[in-house]
Amino acid sequence: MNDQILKKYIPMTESTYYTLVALKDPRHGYAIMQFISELTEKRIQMGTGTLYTMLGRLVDDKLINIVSQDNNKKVYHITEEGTELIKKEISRLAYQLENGEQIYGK
Amino acid sequence: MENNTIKKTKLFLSIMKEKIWLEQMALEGYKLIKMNMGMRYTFEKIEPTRLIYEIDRFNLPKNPTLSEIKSKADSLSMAEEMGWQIAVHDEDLNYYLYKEYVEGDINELYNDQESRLVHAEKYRKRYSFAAKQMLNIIILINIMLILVGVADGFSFYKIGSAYTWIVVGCTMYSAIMIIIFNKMGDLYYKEFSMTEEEWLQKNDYFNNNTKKVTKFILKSKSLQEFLKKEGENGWHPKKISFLKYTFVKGSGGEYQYIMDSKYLTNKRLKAIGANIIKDSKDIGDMGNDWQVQSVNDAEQLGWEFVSAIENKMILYRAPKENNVEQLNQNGKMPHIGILSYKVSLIFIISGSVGFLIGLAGAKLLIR
Repeated sequence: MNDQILKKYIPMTESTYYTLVALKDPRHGYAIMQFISELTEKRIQMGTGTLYTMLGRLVDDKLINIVSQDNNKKVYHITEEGTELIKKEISRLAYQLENGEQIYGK
Repeated sequence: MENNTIKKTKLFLSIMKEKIWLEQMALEGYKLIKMNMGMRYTFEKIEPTRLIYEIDRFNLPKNPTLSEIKSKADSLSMAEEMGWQIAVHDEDLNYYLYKEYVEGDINELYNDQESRLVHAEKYRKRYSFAAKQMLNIIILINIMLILVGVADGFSFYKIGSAYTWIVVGCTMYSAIMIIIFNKMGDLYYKEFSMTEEEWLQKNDYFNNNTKKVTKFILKSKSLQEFLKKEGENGWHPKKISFLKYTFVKGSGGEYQYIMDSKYLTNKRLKAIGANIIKDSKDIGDMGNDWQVQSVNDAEQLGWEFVSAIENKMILYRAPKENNVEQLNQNGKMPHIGILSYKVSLIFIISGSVGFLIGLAGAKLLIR
């Protein structure tokens, strides 16, 4: 895994995290927003600009790619590198949680 | 002319105020359908609706990548997916998007701080680019002036010619535009970094709990009286600067006010035999170590910090009933000034030197 990518993305913001999670299966923009909104019970809602900036950045860093496009509606999907990254972040979060519960209890 | 359109002319410096105005028009039943010259707005009559307006732009960088070339089409199509529509765009290629307000939905185009800053930066860049272009124009026309001078052998009487005055005029115009562009870039950046709610709260736009007063006060005695009078009407100073005084409506009793400065702080230190605060390296007089000492002294006597003007002076207050000791002997207070005398001196000296060099140079040329 590229060291630069690791430095840039770990620890991960919630928007990035949930976008990568949402793209385990191919989805287009609006569907990504809906998926995240449902998964987090409306706690996280991605605005257009937010999502657009996010997707652009993730594509540039090759963590997701565009698998199909009809008209201007693009469908995105997580890449192998993206999967590796999100898994790293999930285990980091698990460890972070463990530390916190160690000191503060559940 | 159809009966269901109206036109309004308004020039907005603040983009937040423009956004809020368009939203208020929609609440009154007017939807933006056309815009000319950045000032002439055309609305059509609709059912009063709560619409949200967002203003965005699509700067193309110097060497756009493929995704950057497509960025406008892509982001507009994603916006449309999310329910946004394009109302108009203006001569500067700002796009006005709107969407109906839905409770519980995301009613912003950029709803996290990171993307808000990306959006804000687009505007700052656009204006710094405009300023750079103006700078290039200044350099270009001044080079032309020099070339004309060379071609004419620098005859002195030519300096009064119309051509020179045109160049001088253009240079000054461009310089003013550069300052304006920089200010606008900064203003838009600040406004786009906030949400509409934050901006409304910060500027107290709809409440009447804040008021700003522009007043030219030189003597500290007059300032004390001014603050006392406002205090009697329930207005407490929140922020003061050389010309602008910001007040908030407050409860609580009346206050007495004093001010402190570096000179007075050092005077106090000298009086008790302590070392004065002095930094020989601080030529520009920008340090504010004295303020730390001042706050210490003031709080010990029971004074509360209100506001400071840069590193020049500090305003303190204490409840009128309290018998607080004056900070400075005989209640002496500093005068309110613009620049420290050292900096003013530097300006005057360098200005005079520049003038003398110019004069000498001109005299040489006449010979």
